Order: sequence, then structure tokens, then C-alpha cells
Amino acid sequence: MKITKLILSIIISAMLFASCENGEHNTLPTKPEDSECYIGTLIVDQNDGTTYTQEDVKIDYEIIDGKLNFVMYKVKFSQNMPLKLDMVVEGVDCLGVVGNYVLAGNGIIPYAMGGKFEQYIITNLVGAITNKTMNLSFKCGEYPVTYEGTK
Amino acid sequence: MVYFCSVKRYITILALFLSLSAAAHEPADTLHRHIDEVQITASLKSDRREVTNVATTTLNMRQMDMQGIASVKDISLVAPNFYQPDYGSSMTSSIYVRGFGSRIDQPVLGITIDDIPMMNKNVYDFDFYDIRRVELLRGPQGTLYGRNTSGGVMNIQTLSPFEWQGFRGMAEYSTLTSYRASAAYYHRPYERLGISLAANFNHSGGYFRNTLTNNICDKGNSASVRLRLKWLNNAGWNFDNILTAGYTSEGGYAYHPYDPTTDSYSPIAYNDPSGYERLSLSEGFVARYIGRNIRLQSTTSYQYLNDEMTLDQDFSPKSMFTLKQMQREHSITEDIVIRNADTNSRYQWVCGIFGFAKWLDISSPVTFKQDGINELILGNINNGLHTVFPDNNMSFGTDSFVIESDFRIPTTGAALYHQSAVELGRWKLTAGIRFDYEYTSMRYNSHTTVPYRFDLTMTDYKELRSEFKGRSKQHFFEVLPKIAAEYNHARGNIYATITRGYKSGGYNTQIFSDILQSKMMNDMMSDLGIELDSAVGTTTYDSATATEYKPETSWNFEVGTHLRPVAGLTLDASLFWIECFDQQVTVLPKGNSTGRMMSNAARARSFGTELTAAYSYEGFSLRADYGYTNARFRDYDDGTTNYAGNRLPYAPENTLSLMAAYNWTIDNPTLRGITLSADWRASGAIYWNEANTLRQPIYSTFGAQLTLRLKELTITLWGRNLTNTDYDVFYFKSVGKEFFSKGAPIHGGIRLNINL
Repeated sequence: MKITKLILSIIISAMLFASCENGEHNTLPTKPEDSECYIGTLIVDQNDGTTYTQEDVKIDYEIIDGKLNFVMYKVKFSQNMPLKLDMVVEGVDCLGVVGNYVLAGNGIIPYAMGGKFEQYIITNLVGAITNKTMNLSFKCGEYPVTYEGTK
Repeated sequence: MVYFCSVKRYITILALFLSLSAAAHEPADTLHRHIDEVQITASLKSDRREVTNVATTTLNMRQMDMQGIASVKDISLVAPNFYQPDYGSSMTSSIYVRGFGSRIDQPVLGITIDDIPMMNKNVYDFDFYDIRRVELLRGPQGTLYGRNTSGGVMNIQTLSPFEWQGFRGMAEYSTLTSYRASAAYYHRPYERLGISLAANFNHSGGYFRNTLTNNICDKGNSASVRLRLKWLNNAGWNFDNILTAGYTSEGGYAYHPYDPTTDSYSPIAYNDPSGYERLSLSEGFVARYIGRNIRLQSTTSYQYLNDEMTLDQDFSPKSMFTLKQMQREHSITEDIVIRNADTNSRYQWVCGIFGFAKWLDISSPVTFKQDGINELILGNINNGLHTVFPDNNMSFGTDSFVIESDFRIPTTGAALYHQSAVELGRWKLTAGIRFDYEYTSMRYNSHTTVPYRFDLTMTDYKELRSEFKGRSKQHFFEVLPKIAAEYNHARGNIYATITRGYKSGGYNTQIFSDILQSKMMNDMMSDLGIELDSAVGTTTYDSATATEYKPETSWNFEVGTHLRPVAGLTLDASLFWIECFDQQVTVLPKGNSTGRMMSNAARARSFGTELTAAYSYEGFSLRADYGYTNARFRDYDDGTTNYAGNRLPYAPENTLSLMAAYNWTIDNPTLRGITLSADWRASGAIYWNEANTLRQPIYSTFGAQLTLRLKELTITLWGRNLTNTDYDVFYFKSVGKEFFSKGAPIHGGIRLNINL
């Protein structure tokens, strides 16, 4: 099973890489529209026994050919981080039917600040999307992140 | 240019002094007697009956012609509480009256030339030649003159071919290779027709050196020509057409960096060229009618201004940013004045209707160069980014970029006014009111495109376009009343007046580069999907409201007197109290801002006094003019500090002028007379900032002059600031740095006047 996941992750990562190299970009909006977004709580484990929590984080997504792309608007990963940024994650495996998707991804290089954000590679991404809720769990670089949002 | 203007200023002062002595004791020469005996075709607004309840300084042609009053700036300090510092270029014609003034945009003083109102203060600093009379009315004159006369009105009359026929010439050479010359011919081919053509040329060798380029930075040339045609009609009409064109090209902006920590000045040193170029045209047509019951005057004018200011806006050796401001304005005005014909009637009235329209196009590109990009823009951005990404930078793929700003500002206005005066025995009561409406709008388009890259995530530069465009419009309606009571007696009068004045509102075109600079940084953050916890933009004012400012209004309460107690002695005095509302103050956005803006941020008051005494006895004459102003903020909070109680900056607290002259009349066919004169002038204290932490203490300058009058030739030797007093005339901040402009040091010259 682990081997299968690893292979799957490599394939997804490779596809993502190829996709980016080919200059294909998602069609996610650069500015969030509240009616389309999930709004929820982002919790980042600071790896020092504490967590950083950010409320009202907006996430919008699209599904193209069974892959989910999503953008997290104006997120911070630490209290000491003096800026918020939009982070785009592309090519997440998306299984299920409309209104009930299961997500999985690994080794995804997110996009932020105008390009690939290799310092904060996404690993161990799992989650679920319904018409009303979105739950995500992943590691962003070294930092475990969870998100729970609703529409 | 600063040197040259200073020369003119002091020539003006000496001119007044010398002419007083000449006028007082010596039989006037043929020219002056001829001119002075001609009845002035006075404006229906500035009729002598109208100014008896106004603090007035009048300079006639003899005073100016003999001593060379050469510009409006030269009258500074001659008239009490009137101050026009000489700095920058002839575009920077800031005027202060009774403590109030403005560095930019709407002036506190209106200027008319041959009854034609000058519609743009950029042309206020022009060369005087063959000026017949200057009349400065202090205090709000809004009832008869309307907008932008809250400090007063200066009425300038040029010489008419009906007042003088023949040739007039002048040539002058002064230290630092400055010279000027004028020539004019006045002709009256028919009894009812007169024509004149006058021209002048002016070269200023400059006074201040830019140590970086090793060039004099304030030298320049100017020239102008005036064609006047006047026709008297049999049916009571006379028609006067005055066409004037002027051109100036000059350097300027002699600004010394100032270090407040050591209280020391550095030499002028900036790397980018700075200067000012102006082409102006004024065509005025005045039709006057004197009937049995009414007198009527219609003044129609068209004015054109095309000027260009170029600035190294950081005034430093660094390549930070430069500004070009190009303006083109067309204006038309129409003023119809009617008043009763019987000048001896106990009831005098005047009615008028005024309208104007002007179309102003401004283009003011600001070019950011390498140092400016690094320090003003990327520095701000990277400081924020480095807290998270200490090894990564934002950069621009260009050494310079331009923020283009284009404006179209049409303005129209209309006014209706009336003033009545009735004499009741020794009393004269005056009441007037004006309704003034103005509509102005502005289309603005400010934009820039820069290639940028964040080296952590971007391999190539990406073009970012920022734009700030839109339209704004404003309406102003003002009611400007005046009431006055006057008691006349054999030796003069005493008067009391209450008047209201206003300065028009407008738009802050100077702030747009700052707004766009701020917007560009935020656009870049947005383009990167970043939101910094602290703003990166430098403009701390809301961009929408920062573009507009509204009118400033004031109430002036005044008592005064004009006395002639004994032969040869005249005394004029006034006490005034001014309450100013919505005061327009020039503010700089905080931080390393590159723009400036007008804001109705203050409430202020001013009180003071003006005293003039002139005495002449035989060959000796003496004149003293003193003005005191105590002008303070009642309320001014710039967001961090409340300056209530502090002095208003830039206007002097005291102005003082003492002049003495002695004239020897010589009974010789060649040499007709010699006049020796001296003057002492003082001004200050002048505060340079709202916090009142910097000021120019009272300073004084000394001048002297020797004039030899031959039959048709006058030779004048003059010297100014003979004690070489070091004083400041202007202070400002730019990009967080402070600068001072200094007054002219010792200088002198020789002038020849000829009248044939």
C-alpha cells in the first residue's frame, strides 16, 4: 500500500512538475469571492509544542480532469511572519463524486509570490470536500497544517 | 535668477526712496510732470473713492521708473505685511499678506494689469517696465474682485500712449554679469488714437553655484513685448487694447541641504538639470463708456500660458527622481462694471458681473532613477520581505522608470456683485455683496509600467502596470460681503471695515506621483499574492480625498486711518484681525514622500498693525513702513501633532522699511540734480515649520544709491545688502531631507534711463 501511495505520489508530482513546466496555469481567481469560498480555521504546528491559528482563511478550488487545484488566500504560517500570502496548490488527487470528494497529495510544490515555492513543499496531504465543508491536513515544509472550513 | 530678482527687489526699494525725494522737493522733469498731470483712466473698481477705507500702498511711475522697481517681488517689504520671498524660480511666486499665503496653487493676492485679472499665479513674477502705477490693496477684496483676493489685490497700470509720447529707454549692468534693457515708443498719430510698443530683455548672471556641476544654477533670460492701442470715441466710449507676450528661460532652485543635528548648511549640489521655461500671452480689451447717468467698463481678456518646470526633486547628488511639470492653460474672462456717473453724488454705487473659463492641461512625469528605485521603492519592499526571506530580493529590470500623470482641469466661474456707499455729513457708509460660483473638474490619468522580479520564486522579470485614473468635480459657492464705516475730516479719515475673502479650492496634482508610487508597491504585493502586515506605500493619506481641497475663507475686521496732519507729512495706520477657516496648508505625506499636497487642515487667526509715515521738507525726505503680524494656528493637527497656538510658517512677523534721501537741485544745463539715498530694511522672525522649531530671526539689509539727473538722461549707481547679511528666504523638506534657500549677498550696478 505504501509503495502504491509512493508511486502515486511520484506520478502526481511528476505530472504537476510537467504541468508547470509546460506553462499550464490554474484558472483560480486571484481575488476570493466569499460565496465561492470555504472560510475556516488554519492551524499550523510550530514544531515547538505550540500552534499558530489563523481564523477566516478563505480557500477556493477547482477540479480539472480529476485533479484539484486550490488557493489559500492571505495565509500566514507563523505569528512572526510579517506578511500574508496567497498559496496555490495544484494537482491534488481528487476521488469521488460531485459534493463528496476525497483528497490526497504528496510532494507538491506550491505556488506563491509569483512562482514555485520550493521551500514549502506540500507532503502528506489528505482531506475531504463536501458541498458545505472542506477539511485538509498536510505538511507545508516542516510544518504540519490543518484546515477546517465551511461554506 | 535669485540674484537677479534680489537686484530687482532692492532696486525697487531704492526707487521708492529716491522718487519720494524727487517728488517732494524738486520740480519734476518734463516727462514726469507730463505723465503725472494726465488724469488716470482709473478702473471703476479701484476708484479713489473705493479705497479710502482700505489699507493701501501706491507707487506711481516716477517712483518706479527712477529707481527701477522691476517686478512684483520688488515691492516685498516696501508695503507693510506684504512679503514675496525670492527663491526657486519665477514660477514659485508665493505671496504672503498679513500672515497668510500659500506655497502652491491658489494665491492670497489677486493681480490685475490694466484691469485684466491674471488667472494663473505662475505669471505673477514678471518684468516691470513702463508701469504707470501700482496700487496694493491689503485685506480681503472679495466683494469687488472675487476669488483669490483674501489677502488683497495689486492693480498694475501700464503707461498709455495718451499719457506719454516719445521714446523711453533703459539699460542696466550689475555685478555677476547681469544686465537688462528696455525700449519703448509711444505715438499718438491722431488726436483720438494712440499706439505704443514696448519691449524689454533681462539677463541674470545668477548668484548661486551648484558645486556638483560647478555651474551657476540660477542664471536666466527673459524678454517681453507689449503692444497697446487706445482709441477715444466721440460718443463717450474709449477702447483700450493691450497685447502682451512674455518668455522666460531660467535656472534656479538654489537650495542648500541643511543638517538639523549640526545646524549647518551644505553647498548646493544636485546632479540633474533644474529650470523653468515659460511662454505667456495676454490679450485684453477694455471698453469704457461715460454717459450722463452711468459709467460702464467691459474688460475682456484671453490669456495663454505654456510653461515647463524641470526639477531634480531630491536636490542631491544622487540619481533619485526628477520631475517635469508642463502646463498649458487657456483662459477667458469678462468683467462688466457699471457705476453711477456723478462722482460728486453723495450716493455712489457700483454693480458688476464677472465670468471666466479656463482650461488647464498638465503633464507631470516623474522619473525614478536608480537611487530612487532602491531607496524609495525597493528599500521599502525588501525591508519587509527580508524579515521572512533574508536572502531574497525584489528587483526591477530597469535603471529608471517614469510615472506619467496627465490632468485636464477645466474651471468656470460666474459672479454678481454690488456695492453702495452713501455720505451722511462727515460719515460715509459702505455695504457690498458678491455671489461667487465656481465649477471645476479634473480628469486624471496617472500610470506606470515596471518590470519586476522576486528572485526566490521568479526566474524572469514580469511587467506590472499600475494605474490611477478617474474624474473628480467640485462646486464652490461663496457669498462675500463687505461693510464699512468711514469718518472724514479735514486732515484725513478714520474707517472700520468687515470683509470676507476666499481662496478657491482645487486639486492636488502634486500628490499623484506619490499616490501612484504607493499604489504600484501595493499592486506589486497584490500581484505576488502578498499582504504585508505594515503598509509599504508611502502615502498616508487616502488617495481619493487627497486629490481635492476646498476653498479657504476668512473674515477680516479692520480699523484704520489715512491722515495728512501737516504739509509734507502723511500717516497711514491700520489694525486688523483675521479669522481664517479651512486654511489651505501645504502638507507632506509622512515618510520618504515625493509629493506634496494642499489640505484644508487648519484654522487660524491673525492680528496686527500697519503703519506708514512719510515726510518731506525741502530736499530731505523720509519714509517709514512697518508691519506687524501675529498669525497663529487655532487648530492644526497633522495626525501626530496639534500645532494649535504655533505661528503660521513662512510669513514674517515684522516687516520694516526705513528710507531717507536728500536731493540737491543744481542749476546747470547739463546736470540737473543729484540724489543720495539710503535704506534699511528688516524682516522676521519667519518660522519655517508648523512646529516652530526652525526660524529666521529678524534680519536687516542696507542699501544706498546715487542718482545723477541730466537733461534727458539719468545715471544711477546702486548697491544692495551692503553689509552682506546672510539670511534665509525659504525652507522645505523633500524625501526626508531639509533644505534652505538663501537671500542675495552684496551686489550693485549702474543704470541709465533716457527719455526722448
